[in-house]
Amino acid sequence: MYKYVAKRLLYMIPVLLGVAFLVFTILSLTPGDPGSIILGITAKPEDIAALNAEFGYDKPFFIRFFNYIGDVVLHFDLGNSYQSRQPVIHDIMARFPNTFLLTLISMSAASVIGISLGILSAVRQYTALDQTLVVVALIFASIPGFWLGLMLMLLFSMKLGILPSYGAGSLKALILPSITVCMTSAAGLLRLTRSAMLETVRQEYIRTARAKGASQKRIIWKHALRNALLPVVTTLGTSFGASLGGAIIAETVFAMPGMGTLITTAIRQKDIPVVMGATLFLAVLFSLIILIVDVLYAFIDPRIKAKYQNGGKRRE
Amino acid sequence: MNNSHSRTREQFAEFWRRFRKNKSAVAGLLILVLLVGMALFADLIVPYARCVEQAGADRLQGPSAAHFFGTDEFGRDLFARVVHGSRYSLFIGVATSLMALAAGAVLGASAGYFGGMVDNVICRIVDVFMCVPPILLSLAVVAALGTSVRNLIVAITISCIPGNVRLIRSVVLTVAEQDYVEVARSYGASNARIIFRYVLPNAMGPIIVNTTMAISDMILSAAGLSFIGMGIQPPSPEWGALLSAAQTYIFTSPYLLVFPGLFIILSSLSFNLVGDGLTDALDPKLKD
Amino acid sequence: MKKKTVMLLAAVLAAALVGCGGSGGQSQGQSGGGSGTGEDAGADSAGKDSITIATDVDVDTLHPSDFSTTVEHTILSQIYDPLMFMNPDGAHDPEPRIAEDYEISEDGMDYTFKLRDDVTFHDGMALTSADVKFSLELYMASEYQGAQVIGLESVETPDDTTVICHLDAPYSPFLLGVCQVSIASKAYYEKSEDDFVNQPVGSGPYKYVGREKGSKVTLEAYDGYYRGEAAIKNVTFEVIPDQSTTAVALKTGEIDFATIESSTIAQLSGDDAIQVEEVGNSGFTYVSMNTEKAPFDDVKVRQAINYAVNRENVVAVCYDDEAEVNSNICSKDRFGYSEDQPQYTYDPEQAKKLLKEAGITTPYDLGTILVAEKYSNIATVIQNDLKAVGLDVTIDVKEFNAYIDDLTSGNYDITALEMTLDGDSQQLEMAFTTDYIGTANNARYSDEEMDSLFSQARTEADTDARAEIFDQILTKAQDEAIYAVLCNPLTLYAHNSGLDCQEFPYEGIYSIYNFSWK
Repeated sequence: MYKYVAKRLLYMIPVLLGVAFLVFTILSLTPGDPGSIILGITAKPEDIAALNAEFGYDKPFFIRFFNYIGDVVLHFDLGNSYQSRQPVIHDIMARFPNTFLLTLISMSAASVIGISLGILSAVRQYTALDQTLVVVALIFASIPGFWLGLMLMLLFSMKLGILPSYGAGSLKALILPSITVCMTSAAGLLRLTRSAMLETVRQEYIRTARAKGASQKRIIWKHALRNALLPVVTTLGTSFGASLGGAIIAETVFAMPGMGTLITTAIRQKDIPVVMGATLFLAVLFSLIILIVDVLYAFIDPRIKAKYQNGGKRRE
Repeated sequence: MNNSHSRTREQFAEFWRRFRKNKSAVAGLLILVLLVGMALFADLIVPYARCVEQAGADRLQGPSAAHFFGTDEFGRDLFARVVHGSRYSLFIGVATSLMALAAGAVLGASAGYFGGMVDNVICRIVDVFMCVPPILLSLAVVAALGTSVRNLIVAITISCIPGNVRLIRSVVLTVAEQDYVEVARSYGASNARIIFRYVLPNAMGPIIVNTTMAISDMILSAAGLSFIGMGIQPPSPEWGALLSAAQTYIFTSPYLLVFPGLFIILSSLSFNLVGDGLTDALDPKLKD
Repeated sequence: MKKKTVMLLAAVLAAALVGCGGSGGQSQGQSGGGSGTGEDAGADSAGKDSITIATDVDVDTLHPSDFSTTVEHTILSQIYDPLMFMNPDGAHDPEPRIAEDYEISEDGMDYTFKLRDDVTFHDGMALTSADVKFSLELYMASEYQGAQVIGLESVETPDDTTVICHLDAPYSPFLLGVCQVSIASKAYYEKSEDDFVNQPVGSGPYKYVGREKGSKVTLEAYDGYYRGEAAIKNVTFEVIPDQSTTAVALKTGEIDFATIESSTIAQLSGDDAIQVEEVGNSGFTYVSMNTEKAPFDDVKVRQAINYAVNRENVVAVCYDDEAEVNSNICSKDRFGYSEDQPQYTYDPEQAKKLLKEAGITTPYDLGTILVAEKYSNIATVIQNDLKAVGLDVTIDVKEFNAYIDDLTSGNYDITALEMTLDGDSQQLEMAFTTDYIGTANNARYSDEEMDSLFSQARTEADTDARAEIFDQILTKAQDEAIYAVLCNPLTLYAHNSGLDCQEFPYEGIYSIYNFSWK
């Protein structure tokens, strides 16, 4: 098992390099340059060129890329933002705690709600409860995030006045954005859990078709749950990772400075150091999350554990 | 020849019987038929001209006899825009989900089934794409391929494939270890046949759920990409675009949100219910 | 059970991180002024010595000369004072600030400023002419705001309270520009360049207390301010990107003052506790046609388009009536504008007639109207208006940077956008002269007479003569229908009715020093 984890940690390096290269390339290929964007359409070309030179943006692509990678790897220096001329790490540290807290709270809530209701729904398949849960889940999954957020804000901040309408300074301020982010994931998890469980239940049910009674049923459900966990844990992992950089709507509506808006604003402004720094930061985290998920697979299903220990190959 | 024909017809009848038993699936199918009908016959329901006809004096009015769903900020009839918008949105929603499903199925199944180096390479590439902000991927598509409805579909699909691959892989991982797969292999069946005939069909449930749940997301992402010029250009109506435009008026003209939102929810509902029904009806293990 | 393990893991992680999450909320740099959450701020403002202002973006920098956004300009102008205050409408005399008086030499090449002797910086140091010279030279070297000191060649400081600006050639707009220069402390800069940028020290009515990156900036009234301490003691600028959220926060009282968009007014109307202010500014919305491409090289076509557009409708639909209809690129409150200059009105019949005279047979495919997403509303309305006179355009929305690229390189036929060429009316040369093709001269218009008129205006010292030159410029611009200007959108502020804001200067950069609670 340790060998597997060690190998996966090593594999993170080419992944991170790949991300860095891909992001850097796309940013360099898209139109616009930081100087023009900062100084605007009325600026003199000489001023724009001078500013770009200060950023080192006038150098050729590969030189800029290798300089950047060198700085990151050798000096742990993510560079300075073009817009603020301040270290990128400051921006990341100012925003990451908010994002992380938001994601943690909303994902925890989503998994508890989604998974438990999903199990309930599967157990009571085809009953009125099941149908209702499915429809409610679908409605919540299709509701636009900004609508949910603003409606919650209207109710709790304006009408009831018990929660702040914006900001990230306190846990209270995080409640509404967390609910907003949580709802869609919860709905998805509910449906997924239900479906995955039904899938395995049907398999087992056939095999023990003329069952020996209640005790057999309990075994079926235990087994079903365990197998259902795989896709559920996968989705949890990818949702968590995606949420870290993707809670843009909640961040905008609730004025919560987070990683999502940091990255999208920086992309618009071609603030390459910020985009690179924040993306790589999240990439490291995301790779670790995926690793944890894959390790969890081994605990959930011993057959997969065996696969890992065999170097990932099928037993021939 | 005759035998296989009648056997297919028999299979289909059986499938249809099982599908019909599921009441919510049938309800979903009904809604779906109505929506698709609306998309196909949009011109008959209301002429396209009404979608783009502006009347500044009549802007932001609530539902009335003259305008069933009210008017938007330009004074255009919302009902007409929702009806015609169905064409773009349903097409985009379905096309992107199917493409993401197909790509995800092939890659995910290969990764889960073969394991080893194949799994490693696919997973690492997927990881790289998952870490790149989706907006960048779309900008790359714009820069490389230009802006068109087809490229819009490509852009949305690309951001969805990684998640799909991971999910399908995880489902395949369990299924691939099942006994009937071993049995099929002992018969000398080829890997491809095993994947498509035994592995994927038994993994259908979560895969279909994921795909149908994603449809509403796709419709909404299409709107999110309009600001970089992808796909549907104004004044063409598209449900996601109608929704984004309504955000400014969320408190003052809520109907602008309610109607397109309702249709997006209905589409999602119908696809999901039909999807669930399909899973149940097609499930080889379920025989009653 | 395995599921329980997963849940337990998640719960443990959650607990652990909630524990350390509390301290993670603060960020780099000092955060004074309390960690004011949305809810607390409401209570603070009720105590009438604080104000919470919403901004739509965070400041990237607080460098006195190297800044680029309106928010930065607003906050900097509370911290730093200029030599004199000039209302940019050109209709008011300069008010003394750091400089009590000024004098312009006969030849227009020397501007002498007499400074007060009682001005101090927030760190207690006295402000002398050396600081003024330092600041002016900062601007001269700045890529960001260098335009404010165009023409300045050198600065002389014969004594502590006298500053002489030597120009390389007479330049009438110089006074307005130099009054935009924030006067910073030379000694403070030499002590620590880092602090100079991150912990700004100025001589204005408010001193910098701290900020939380991404969310707020806090200021405090400076008790040593030479005009007397400000009425409002504590100022907090909070970042709220979404307009609907801003409206809610105004209604709950979490914020007292905000810049709003026209569509937000409907959300605030009917609420007596909130007052909306409209402030004029020189920004204009316009349709630009590439005069290097047919058929836009034909003046009749451009005039036709000018007549085809229903400006009142644009104002109603795109600006909720919060804009002034104006087909003249010079806004009505600005120097050089005259009612005698031709205005285009909505006349589709005239438009059709002109098109026929130009040899255009309708329906005619005019190509694509290129826009950035934020202007697609305007394009939608224009498309409709053009269709009514037989000109068909399709809308092409492009990502903003790609759009600017195409715009400045002339890779477009017709477009619609908003532009600001603020400052002295001389800035309008950026829209009309040959030198600026490739930057702000989007019509790519080149005309010797126009170029020479602007050169004359630059050096003409006599106000009346200058007005006469601008009259010629603007009349020519209208006759040749170089652009189809639509309107001047108003700057809108919404604030707590209990706040007395007095009059807002033209262009809208307000001074909180003038605010007070009733």
